[in-house]
Amino acid sequence: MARSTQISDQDLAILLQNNDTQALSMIISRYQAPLTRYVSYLGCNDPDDSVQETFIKLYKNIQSYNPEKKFSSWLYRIAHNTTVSRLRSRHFTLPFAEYLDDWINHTEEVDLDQKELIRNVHTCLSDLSPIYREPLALYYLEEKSYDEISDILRLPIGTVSARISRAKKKLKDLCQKK
Amino acid sequence: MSKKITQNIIHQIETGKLKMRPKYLFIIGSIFSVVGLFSSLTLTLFLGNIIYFRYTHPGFGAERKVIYLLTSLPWYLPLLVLSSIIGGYLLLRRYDFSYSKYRYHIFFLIILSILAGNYLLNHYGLNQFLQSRGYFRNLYQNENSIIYPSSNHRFGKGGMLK
Repeated sequence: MARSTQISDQDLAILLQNNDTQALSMIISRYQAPLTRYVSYLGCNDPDDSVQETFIKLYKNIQSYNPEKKFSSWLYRIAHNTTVSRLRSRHFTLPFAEYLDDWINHTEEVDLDQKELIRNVHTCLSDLSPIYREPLALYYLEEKSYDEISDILRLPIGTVSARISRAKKKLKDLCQKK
Repeated sequence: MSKKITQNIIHQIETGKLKMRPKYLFIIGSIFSVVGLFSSLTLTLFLGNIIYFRYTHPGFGAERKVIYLLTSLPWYLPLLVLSSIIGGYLLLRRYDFSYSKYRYHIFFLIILSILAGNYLLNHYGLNQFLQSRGYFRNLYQNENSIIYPSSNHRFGKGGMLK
């Protein structure tokens, strides 16, 4: 466990490039929960399958990873591509509310009022168009920087900033209507 | 669930169902892409130069000149462009997780460099310089002998058809 927290993502990736499968286990335990949440924001109704596919692609393509770049952005980009192609290949219904209920009910540290507030915000978020929902979720919920979001979504930083700004306004309008 | 995913993937690795893609595929794909980019730039410059010539030197023989230049295009160049771009795409599409987020900027820069290249070729004497050098010397002289058969290029003053 101590080893898991000490080693940086980049070092784990390098270990994995040298066929260290223990490094893969550490990456999975470190990123599974955030990725499950992220692919759910994208509208995926089987987030666990999507995340598993993401880790499989990670393993297959690890040799193309450049350790000088940020590992999490690379991994989120794989998750984005995987989920988007899954959404395109099938007609998924939006499972967001279902996933959210499960997540909120298992979150013990927030009280009932906060849970209700979180539920309302997330319901409004799920009504947003994906092009606004995704950067907003990455920025506020996954706590990614503009630069990282720009890497994940392959958008210039200016576009990321504009989308987040518009998304906030739209989210505010949606929440006020409800 | 974390353990389940980990176990699934490790099991697939151990049984050989899941394999890492070798690094050399990525390197070869990158080389193909770079060659494809440069050869397509060369080809576009060549074609752009023909079009520029066609519109800045109108008159008798212009059509024949264009046709001649097109037929004198090295056959391997379009082949090189196509094969390297297709090869690069086939190899690199598996690694579609790059950091290239400024695609439109890159595209715009390529177009700009083609236009600038054509301008430099025609306005700063590079064309004239090439006319007196190696492969291009033959190319330009052949072209002139076809368009102006009675000129003194290649076949001497008066040309073959005198």
